[in-house]
Amino acid sequence: MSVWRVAWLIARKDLRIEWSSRVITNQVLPFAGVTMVIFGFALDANTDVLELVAPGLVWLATMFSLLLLVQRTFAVEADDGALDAMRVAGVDARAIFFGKAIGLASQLLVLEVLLLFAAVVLYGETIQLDGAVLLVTTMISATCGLAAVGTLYGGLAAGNKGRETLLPLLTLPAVAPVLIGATRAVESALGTGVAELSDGWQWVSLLTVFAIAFGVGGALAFGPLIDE
Amino acid sequence: MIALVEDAGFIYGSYALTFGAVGWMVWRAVSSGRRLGKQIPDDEKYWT
Amino acid sequence: MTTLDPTTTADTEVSPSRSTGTNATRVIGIATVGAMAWLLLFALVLSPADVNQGESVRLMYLHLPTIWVAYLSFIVTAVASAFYLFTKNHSLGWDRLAGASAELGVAFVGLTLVVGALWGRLTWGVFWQWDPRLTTTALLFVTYIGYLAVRRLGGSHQQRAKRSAVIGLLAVLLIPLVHWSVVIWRSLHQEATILDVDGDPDIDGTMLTTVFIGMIAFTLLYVWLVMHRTRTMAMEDLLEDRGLDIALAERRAEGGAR
Repeated sequence: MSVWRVAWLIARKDLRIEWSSRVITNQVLPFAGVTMVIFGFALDANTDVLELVAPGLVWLATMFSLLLLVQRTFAVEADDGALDAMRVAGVDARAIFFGKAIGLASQLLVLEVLLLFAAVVLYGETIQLDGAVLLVTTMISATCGLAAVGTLYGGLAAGNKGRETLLPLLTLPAVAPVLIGATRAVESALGTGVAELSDGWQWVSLLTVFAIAFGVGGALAFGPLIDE
Repeated sequence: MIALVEDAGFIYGSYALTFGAVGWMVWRAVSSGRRLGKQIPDDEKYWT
Repeated sequence: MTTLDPTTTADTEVSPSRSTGTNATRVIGIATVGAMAWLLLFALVLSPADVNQGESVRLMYLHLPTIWVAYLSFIVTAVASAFYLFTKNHSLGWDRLAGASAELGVAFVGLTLVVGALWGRLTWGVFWQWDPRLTTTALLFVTYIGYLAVRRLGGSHQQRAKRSAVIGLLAVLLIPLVHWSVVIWRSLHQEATILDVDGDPDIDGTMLTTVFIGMIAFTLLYVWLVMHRTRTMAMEDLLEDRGLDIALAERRAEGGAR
């Protein structure tokens, strides 16, 4: 079986597990929503500050939720030692990497759409039609990068006791470029502050390079990191 | 005048901090080297 | 003596106490002390105050060498990580060099950030600016703290080595991306001019000399420290192995005694 076929099977398995267990729907999505609300508490909801910083808050909430999603996607495997079982059965580590990443990316995209919706409702953001293409492209390219980094470090931090706390320390600096780029691109797409639409595409290219770099690098590094 | 004095504090402080940190790193290297060196036979040390 | 003299055999058995110093490190150590003394002389006495910054330019003679050594350390970590992964032997010596170098790198970046903040306070009036170089340096610091945390995850030496080498190489992939994103980010904003000392065309000849001396002195220091630390790590690994052997032997003895 080709790497992509196996990856697709793994991704489908993860999404099926979520469909039946609803852990992410019941726990992580509400967490993301709560985060958006408490940002309002912290930043004095009566001023225009919230509308200005809304893109940043959306991506911040995404980053924090990413950590939970990553932990969940590997907890699903750790319970029955499934990762090791797959490796022993000869499954290509790259397939596992891409499979987990695709599953993670799908969940992230749903999360981001909901967070954007929350920003419209809670922070008074407006979404313009001429920024829509930029917005969608940003979300896809950013999500691919986040999924790659999350899967990679999640594989390392999964399982053994005392490792889960390593995940934020490794992941957050690594996704800093995505946070910077995605926020600026969304600012351009939504027209907040002084952002120009044209600037946004520069950021999308950075996000794309990031996604490819960590997609390839992650696929190569995943095997050595999870084989013990 | 006062600005100069404040400046001097920062400058000397930085030098003291830097060389203090360097001195600490050096001390740690030497003392742990000695401490562990006593516990391992010489023929197992690749630099001897 | 080939006679069965009990005192001589007892003496040689009892004295395995060579520390991590060798002739090489002693030479480098002496050179380092000399270079540092020369640096202090130039930095604090012989070099002039700057036309714009005044005396606070003297902090540059600390700041530039420390960040230079940090970059050097991380490059060594990356190269050693690659050698560990891609050579047939997978020799742990490479892993220990990578780890020792990263520890020093983190220490020197930390020092750079602190001295830089103090220098910034004097010249810009603020401890911190979100300019590309500072921001990237801060992220560099945190990234390698993560690397050091991965080294402490436990397991066998080879497991540690493989994990760390992979993470070390990923850091090399990450740093340019971080830098690129920060540079674009900060170039889109109007900013107060930052005093960019390295680009200063009027930099005095003595100042350049002092910076150069500082680079040499700190590089020698780095070499000295990394040699000692690598050797110490080798001993730590040996002790850990020995402790494991003892524990295994004890378990076996327990099993046999039943």
